[in-house]
Amino acid sequence: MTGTITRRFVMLVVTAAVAPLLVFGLLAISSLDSRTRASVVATNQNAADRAAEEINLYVSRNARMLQAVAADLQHTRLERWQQERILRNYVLAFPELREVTLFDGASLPIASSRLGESQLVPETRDAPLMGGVSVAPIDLDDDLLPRTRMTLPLKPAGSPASALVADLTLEELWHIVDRVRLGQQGFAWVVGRDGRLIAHGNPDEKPRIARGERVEGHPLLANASGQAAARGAVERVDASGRRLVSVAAPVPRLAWTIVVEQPVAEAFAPAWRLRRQLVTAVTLALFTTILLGALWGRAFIRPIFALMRGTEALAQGRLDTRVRIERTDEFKKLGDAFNAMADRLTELQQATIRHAQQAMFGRIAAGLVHDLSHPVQNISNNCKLMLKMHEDSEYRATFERTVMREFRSIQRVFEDLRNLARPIPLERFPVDVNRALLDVTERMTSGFETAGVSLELDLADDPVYIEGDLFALGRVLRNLVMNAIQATAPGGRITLASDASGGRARIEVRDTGCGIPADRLGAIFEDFVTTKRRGLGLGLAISKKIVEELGGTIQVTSEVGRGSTFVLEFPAIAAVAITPLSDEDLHDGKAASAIEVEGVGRTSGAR
Amino acid sequence: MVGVVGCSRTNRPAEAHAGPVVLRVGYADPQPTASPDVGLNVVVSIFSDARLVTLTRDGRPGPGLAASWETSSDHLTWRFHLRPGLSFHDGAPLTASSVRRWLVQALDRPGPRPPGLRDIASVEANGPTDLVVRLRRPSSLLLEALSFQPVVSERTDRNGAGPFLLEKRRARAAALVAFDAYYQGRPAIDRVELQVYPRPRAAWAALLRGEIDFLYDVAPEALSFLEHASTVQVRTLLRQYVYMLGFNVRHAALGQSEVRRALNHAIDRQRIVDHLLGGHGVAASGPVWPLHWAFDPRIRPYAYDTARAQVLLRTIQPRTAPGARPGSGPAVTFSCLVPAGYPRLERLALLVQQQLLEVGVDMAIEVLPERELRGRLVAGHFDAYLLDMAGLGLSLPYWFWRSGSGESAPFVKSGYAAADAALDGVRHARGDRELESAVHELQKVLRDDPPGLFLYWGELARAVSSRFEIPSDRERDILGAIASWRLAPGAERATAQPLSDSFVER
Repeated sequence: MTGTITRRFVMLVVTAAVAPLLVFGLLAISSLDSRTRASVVATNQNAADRAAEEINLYVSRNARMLQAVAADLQHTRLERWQQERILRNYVLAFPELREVTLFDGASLPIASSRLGESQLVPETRDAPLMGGVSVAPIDLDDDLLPRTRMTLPLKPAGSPASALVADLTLEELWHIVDRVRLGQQGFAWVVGRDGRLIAHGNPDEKPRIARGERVEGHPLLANASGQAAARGAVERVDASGRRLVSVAAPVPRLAWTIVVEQPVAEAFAPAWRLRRQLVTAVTLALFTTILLGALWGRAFIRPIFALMRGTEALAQGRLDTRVRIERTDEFKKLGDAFNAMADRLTELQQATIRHAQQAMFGRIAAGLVHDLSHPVQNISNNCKLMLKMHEDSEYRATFERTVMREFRSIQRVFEDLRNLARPIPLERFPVDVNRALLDVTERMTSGFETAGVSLELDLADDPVYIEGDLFALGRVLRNLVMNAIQATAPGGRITLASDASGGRARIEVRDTGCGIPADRLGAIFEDFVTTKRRGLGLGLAISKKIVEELGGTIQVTSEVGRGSTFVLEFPAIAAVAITPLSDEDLHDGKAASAIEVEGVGRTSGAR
Repeated sequence: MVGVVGCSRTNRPAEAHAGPVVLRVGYADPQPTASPDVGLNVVVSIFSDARLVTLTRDGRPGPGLAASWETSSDHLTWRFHLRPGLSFHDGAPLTASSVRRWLVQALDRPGPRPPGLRDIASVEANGPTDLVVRLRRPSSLLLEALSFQPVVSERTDRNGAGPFLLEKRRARAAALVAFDAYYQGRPAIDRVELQVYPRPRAAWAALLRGEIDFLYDVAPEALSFLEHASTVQVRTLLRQYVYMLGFNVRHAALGQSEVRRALNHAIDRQRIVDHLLGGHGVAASGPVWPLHWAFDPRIRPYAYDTARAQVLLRTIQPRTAPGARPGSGPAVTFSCLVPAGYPRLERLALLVQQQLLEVGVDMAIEVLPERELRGRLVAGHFDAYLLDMAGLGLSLPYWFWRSGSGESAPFVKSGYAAADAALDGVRHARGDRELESAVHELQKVLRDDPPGLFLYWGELARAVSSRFEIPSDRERDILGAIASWRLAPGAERATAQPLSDSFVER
């Protein structure tokens, strides 16, 4: 019952609080993960797109600058020194311009920004970028800075100029790439159309540029031979085993690809931190809920448990049990009602006990009066006669016998009372129950005759041995036979039977008397309970005690008006030869002391 | 783009915690047209030579082979006390007698000598460790001169007393090993391998590929990209070379002090530093090293003031043509010699040309091969020239700017003699106070009557692999303390390689 209430309460807490919290936590974590990943990819992609656009603008700006130089030189009929001054002014105005040289159709320099010999040659194989300007693959200059060469073919009418070539340092390209920083370890890098690394934001990776390394096996560049890779995002593991979030963006027209990579550990660190916090919060909430639920539930269930324990205690007769519920709600009222009920029950019990004690005392007193009055009256009467007939020696002998007999009767009453309060001393010897039954009938023959009741013996053919005290067993049988005689009206019949089967010895005392009402049948073996109008009612209680001390059982069946049957059962023992006891021995309660040969005995088949 | 000559120098297998500690040094020859010997000799000397005295970055002399010295009250007798137990690389004892023989040999050597040596009258050895130098006149430049001259055995130039001794030498490579008896203690590095690269890029690439551990000189442009790399330590310091445009004062217009001052006002030095060096330099006020202890920072560079320049230019006398043009057109025209093969100098020339043009001065640029340019300078056949001039100590400014005095011909025959007295004052100053005053006077003269346009002092950077621990003092050139470099704990050791004159360019 307790378990059920607790289980139900736990189920209530789980259903109402824990499960929703868990579901919320799982949904929140799942949502956080997916949103964070999308956000990281979007942020990194944004950075890559912006950098790609910046690079594109930067290169386009230089291409436009070259077009502007060409516009300044074409169709102006300038002298060489004037052209050179223009070229040199451009070089000074734009630091990324290392050299600009105007070539003729034979690829010989016409005018150059260089004071010395031009270091450039026109290259027509470079891919056109915009407005006819072509861009050579990225190279590194002596200072290890990236540089390229832009060539603008010219078609001037009436002029020997055929191409304008610029040597550009792309230092700004590196700056653009260097500026892309994501956290502490997120960098950008750029690969050219041939897959060669041309810029890297990580200072420690720049040696790869110096080594002219090509990027191979990158999932975003796998199909990018000569073509910039499309925008995209993947997760990959680098050579050092780090897991990276990698996004790519093409640089329009240049067939370059900018890749932005950041270690997953760093990219998702805020999300993981949030997730840890969320898990912690949900866990704390769960524990708090469970703790509060347990505390509250315990507080809720405790009075129920207290009431249950109180009820069980009352049921077990501990009427002094009270419940203590220190609350102000309905449980408090319930507890008060329980205590009031217990108080009332205690009062009722005490009253009952008092009544029972008074009744018992009355019955004991009446029984004592009944059991003692007759011997006392006999002794008194004989004493009065003794005053008159003390000279008569015959009477004195009669007086002695009578008084001694009555004293023995009084002594037996006292003995019964004492036996109730202490163990009955028993001496165990093999006893033939048939013999015991025969002894009793012999002794009580006058009783049967006086009561006008016939006796019937239905004994087993063979001796039925039990380990018992012959005197004590005789007393039990006498008591049962006496009760049967008293309960049976003249003309009735009393049957004494014995039997042995299944290792058990069975004795039955049946009468055709008035019977015992069913409502009193269960109490007839209790002390001071009797169906007779007078007497202490100790006979059956003592009988039951003796039988049980001998290891047997005593039961009764009865029907009012039809009679009663008392059944005694004892563990049977093997048949033994015994020395018959004398009457004195039986009378004094001494048992046979000599066990003879097993299997030899006497059959008593009197009926 | 792979050019291979002969066998290659590739990544060397590293051997952890075994074998000698090898420092592999890369050197990009700054003078591609000159003999590679020139550059390599300079670097070899840094590693292998020892001087009688040393010179700190602020121009103060410090102990070298000589532990101490004193001078007489008339500053004409100097007594140097050598460290006991010194020896040359070949094991021969380095005594006062051997130093005397070395010094006498240096004095007798034909050709220009540092001014500090020109005043020496005699040299005597007084016992095994005491050297007495007697002067004709007091000289504040004697110690500087001694700090420039490596002490070598009379038997061979290569037998010095520096931290490393030359083991092998090729045209473009050299190997040195630690000198056990070096007076500052045996270096922690066992072996130094020098390799000359034809271009800075090749040297840089070698460093980044891990083929060398130390790059002698790094271009300022590359600094911002590599100074944050964890595999390389980059140290920057001001280079002791002043970039300048010198004038021939025999030129009609340039001979006028007002014109020279006007031209100085026309130059925006900071813009040049920013444009050309990305800010890695400082504007120059003259040829005196700005970190020299006697330098007077109150003598400021000319302020960039085109209005003032134009006012000054209006005072010139047009009759002094052919340099000056009356009426319309540029107020002054002249040509400037620029050595060929130096793109940075070319760009500097263009910047100066552009800035001068803004105040009406037309500077033509004449690019010449270096040898031809030097000939023109010595002969005085020029209007102006653009060079970077060594500014170490005070001896070099004296040597460069002192007009001919009979002791030696001037390096540049510019006709400029306005600073002679001030330069002599510096040369013969007695004691620090006199020298400080003389330097102030020199700075003032060179500023008030400038012989040219002193433009800037550029920065120098050295890059060292993180495998090595280098001195933490950022005010010193790390090369000056090469003996104290050591392999970082746990760093791998490179294995020694046979010398090669070839290289692989990737």
